[in-house]
Amino acid sequence: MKRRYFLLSALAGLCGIAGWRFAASDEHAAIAKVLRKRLGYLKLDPDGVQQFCRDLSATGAISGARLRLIDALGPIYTQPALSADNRIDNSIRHGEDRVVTLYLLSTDFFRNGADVNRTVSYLHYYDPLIACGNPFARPVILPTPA
Amino acid sequence: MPARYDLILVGTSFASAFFLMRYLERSPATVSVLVLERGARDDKSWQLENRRTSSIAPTAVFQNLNPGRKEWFTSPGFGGNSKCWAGGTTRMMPGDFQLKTRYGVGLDWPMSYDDLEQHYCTVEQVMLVSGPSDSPMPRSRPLPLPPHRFSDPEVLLKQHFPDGWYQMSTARASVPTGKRGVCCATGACELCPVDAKFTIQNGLAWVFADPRVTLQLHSAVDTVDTAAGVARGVSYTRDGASESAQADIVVLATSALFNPHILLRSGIKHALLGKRLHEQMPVDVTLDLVGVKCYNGSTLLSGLGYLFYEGEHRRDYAACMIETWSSPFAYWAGALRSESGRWNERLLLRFLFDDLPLDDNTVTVSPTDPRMAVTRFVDYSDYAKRGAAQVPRMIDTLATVLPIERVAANEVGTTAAHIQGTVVMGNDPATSIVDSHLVHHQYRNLLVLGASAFPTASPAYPTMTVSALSLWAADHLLSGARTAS
Repeated sequence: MKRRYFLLSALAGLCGIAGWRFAASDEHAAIAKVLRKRLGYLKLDPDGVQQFCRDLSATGAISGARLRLIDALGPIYTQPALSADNRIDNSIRHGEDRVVTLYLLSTDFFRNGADVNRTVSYLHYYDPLIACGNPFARPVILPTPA
Repeated sequence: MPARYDLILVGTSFASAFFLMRYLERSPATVSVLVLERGARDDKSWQLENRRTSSIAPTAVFQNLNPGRKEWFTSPGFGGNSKCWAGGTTRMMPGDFQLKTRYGVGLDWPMSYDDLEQHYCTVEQVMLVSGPSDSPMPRSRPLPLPPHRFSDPEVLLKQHFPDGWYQMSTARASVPTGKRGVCCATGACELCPVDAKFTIQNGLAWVFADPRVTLQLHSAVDTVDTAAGVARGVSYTRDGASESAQADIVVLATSALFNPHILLRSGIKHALLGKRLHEQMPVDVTLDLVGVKCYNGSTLLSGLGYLFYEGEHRRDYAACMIETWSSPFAYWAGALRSESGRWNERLLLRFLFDDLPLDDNTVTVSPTDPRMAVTRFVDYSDYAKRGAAQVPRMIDTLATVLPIERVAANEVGTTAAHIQGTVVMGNDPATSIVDSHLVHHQYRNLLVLGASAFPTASPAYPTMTVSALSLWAADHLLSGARTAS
């Protein structure tokens, strides 16, 4: 009886902590966590990161619940590296890569030659409808007339 | 009395515009044509300002019973789906027309590749298609614009599979044309910010401005009016009011969603009408590579793989065409890598498998609102699914050329952005609704154009074949008219 009571109490406590963390979680903080985790090798302009978090969150491109889950599970989420090739890991990694992609395309990083030693500055939220924003594309080169 | 015309044409997308182009070329100055279009003009500046291609939401015109599992893209309004297409202009392969004869599966089309070859050429000229000088299928004329530039992995694939990998044939301009911008692989083809892709609006709007043509927008056709085995005209709703018009010939060109919808509402019956809704089965694959930089072609989709297309395997499983994508922001699948220096060492591929359409996949009329079409998609054929099961083996073949570090994703996509079947063509009135020239078997002055006529899917994109079939149908119609006169 005591053991069952103890287990139930522990479970209720854990649920309470998880619920509290989720309720107190923040979408912007989650986006920043993703960037810090995946782009730790870059110097990111802190104000720009905050602005990007606000802009990305405002688009609703990533579900708020998912972002808050990341924030709530922050210590667990940010520490272990994703290594196993399973569906969940792939899905998380893909989501992270999408955030990183949007961030990098929204900054001067590729414009400055992808220099990892230079502070990365946020310019404006990436808009695919602004023409020719693909930093890797190479146009067709016509042969020079003889 | 309803207005009377020589011809009523419903819809303003590819099937309609190419039919009208040929019809006007070969008709006297006295003919009269009424074109009815459900939507508005929604020109390019309107689209960019509003960040969508149509002022009518797709959900206002059809209900999808399987959202999330199967998506169908459509863009009501002048120019139709040419506004939202991505500009892929592959021809079908000769074997696609003869699946039954060559491979003992599916159905033969009621015409051959050779029957359409000249029409394919005409469409390519009108659309100013970019593409390579070599080709996986026979062609009698070169493409008008030079090919787009391969990305680095595609260069490797072409070197190792010279007869299996090609620059994509596309209506996204590779060089200045004087009419459209040059594609720069932005990855937002639906709303292309530089207007690089061919659309009816930027390439064939002139046929609708011909003085013989009356173009009426905001006019949603409800029914084809028939009597004594003849199509007499159409009834339609314009700005909320019911109107009608009569003609000697009625032509529906409103896509595989709405052609059957209108016919069903008209009380025109056939056991197959609205059935066999289909498209290619798409499988999206993401490969992380070692040391090979991607996304650096000159257009969204810069290459196509034909390694697993034609061949005896088609007796057992579906043919496959492989797309290589060149934009890091290609819809949901696109993403850079995060590791330092390896941001674009990632290759996006889409494997497109042909399908043998199932009767259970349907377009019907909504029982609660007859103005709405309803799509129901049960499944792909086992034939297509057996093809998709070959993807790991196909990746192994690509791995003989590409340094693959990891298969980051391999999943069935929700759409290939095509809509086919539902008013299938064939020679036998018992097993098809329109004949080989897209004339209704029962109503001989009623034509039903577009991909609704496709008996089987083919891995190739449908637009070239849709457009070529419209030229083919117009030629036949006019040769018949000449004979009659």
